[in-house]
Amino acid sequence: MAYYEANKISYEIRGRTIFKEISFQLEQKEFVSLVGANGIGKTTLSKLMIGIQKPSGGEIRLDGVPVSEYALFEVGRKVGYLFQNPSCQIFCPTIMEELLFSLRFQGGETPEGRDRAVEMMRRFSLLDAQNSPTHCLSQGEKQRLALATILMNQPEYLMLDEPTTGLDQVRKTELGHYLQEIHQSGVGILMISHDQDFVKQMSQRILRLDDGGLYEED
Amino acid sequence: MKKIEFDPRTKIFVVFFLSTLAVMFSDWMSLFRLSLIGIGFGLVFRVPFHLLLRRFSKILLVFLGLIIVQSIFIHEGEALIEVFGIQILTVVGLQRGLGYVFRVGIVLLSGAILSTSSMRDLLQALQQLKVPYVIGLMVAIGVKFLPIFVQEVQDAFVAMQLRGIDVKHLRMKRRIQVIAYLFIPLILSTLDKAERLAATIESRGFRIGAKRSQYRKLQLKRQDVICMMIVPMIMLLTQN
Ligand SMILES: Nc1ncnc2c1ncn2[C@@H]1O[C@H](COP(=O)(O)OP(=O)(O)OP(=O)(O)O)[C@@H](O)[C@H]1O
Ligand SMILES: [Mg+2]
Repeated sequence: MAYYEANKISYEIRGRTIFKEISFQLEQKEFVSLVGANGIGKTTLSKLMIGIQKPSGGEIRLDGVPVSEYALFEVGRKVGYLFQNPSCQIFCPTIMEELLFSLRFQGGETPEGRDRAVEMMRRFSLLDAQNSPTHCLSQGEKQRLALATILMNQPEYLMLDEPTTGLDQVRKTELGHYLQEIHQSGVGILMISHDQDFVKQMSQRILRLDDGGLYEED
Repeated sequence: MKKIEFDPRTKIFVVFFLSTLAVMFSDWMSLFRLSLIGIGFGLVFRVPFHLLLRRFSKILLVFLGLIIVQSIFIHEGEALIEVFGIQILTVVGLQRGLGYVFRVGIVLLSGAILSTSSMRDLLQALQQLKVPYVIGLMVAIGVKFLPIFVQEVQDAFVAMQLRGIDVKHLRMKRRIQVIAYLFIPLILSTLDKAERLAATIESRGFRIGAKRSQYRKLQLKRQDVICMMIVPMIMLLTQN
């Protein structure tokens, strides 16, 4: 059984069909990329997959259970989601608080939690910025913080909506290393991206969304 | 039949009366009559009632709660429902609750009446009514950005739950703490937006108080005059 299974899902909004009867399967340990033109529905598809939006037809199963049967927080504990704009998922004034945020509201901070947060800061090169207020962080730093925060939850799967936008070449290579590392630790990844080279270099499979539907690229 | 278009000033006039009276009245009968009249005007101005109803039905449950709380804590009037000696629903509680429902209904209706005119027309109307331009501008910006704020709060709430936080089952104190955090991204993005908006406006040469000449002028028509004359008369009838 695949980790994610979409069966003939369609999505309509305000009388407009964004996509129709799309089916696909994703394995839990795969690194898959989703590509396609602007406005074709990639972000929408990923939102259907975590249940923020509901398909108008068909069904998506996560780990064998329809997504619609999970509460949002349950999906969140399995799947980490990096928004196209990371600002909307940063809530706390400092990096440390932000990393510990979900622990605080899920049973409380522990010394191990703090150690893990420090480890995350080191891994994502956030130590230099640790005293800057989060809203002043640069785009790249915000993104790394958002990613680090998601990983604090130890998800089994990651969805990344255009993680390379706004990153320079060095940071992009760095992100590539982080992602590879995360993938090797057993976390599956679905990455939405417009960056051809990055996609080719990173992914095991590439899915292309266009007007006709969803295709596998080789 | 040709659709009759009303001047935005007429709508402002009606809304002014409706909302002033809604605040002044406190007995539910007057408020009820006022709501009926409001609905009448809503029909005349072609308010999209289905949208209004959907919004209203969402908060109706809150009012139900209010009615019960009123009944429990104000020991007045005859009890309609009593459980173990506690008055769950009393006549006075019901009347007050209905009063609230009508009052909020009228306020929502007033908003809906105003939004049947375009923002451009309403601003023009305010200007011709000699309301200072700054106020008109603030109102216009506020109205325009409100849906965006609502959307942003919803997005932040989703992002928070995706962090694995079960907001619905937290204890009250923790829940309030967590919800307070929702406003941090909102406030920051608002400040950011305000800054950018101000820069954009100024870079386009806009100055408050600068002399502007305009081509468009709103003209009161016969239906507007009639409507404005009728309004005070009808409103007088609602008083007890
Ligand atoms: N709430 C909405 N109301 C109306 N249309 C919407 C809404 N949300 C998305 N759309 C439309 O759905 C289409 C797909 O949007 P989506 O954000 O999924 O595209 P995308 O593939 O992620 O594009 P990009 O590469 O630019 O991020 C767009 O044409 C968009 O206009
Ligand atoms: Mg997108």
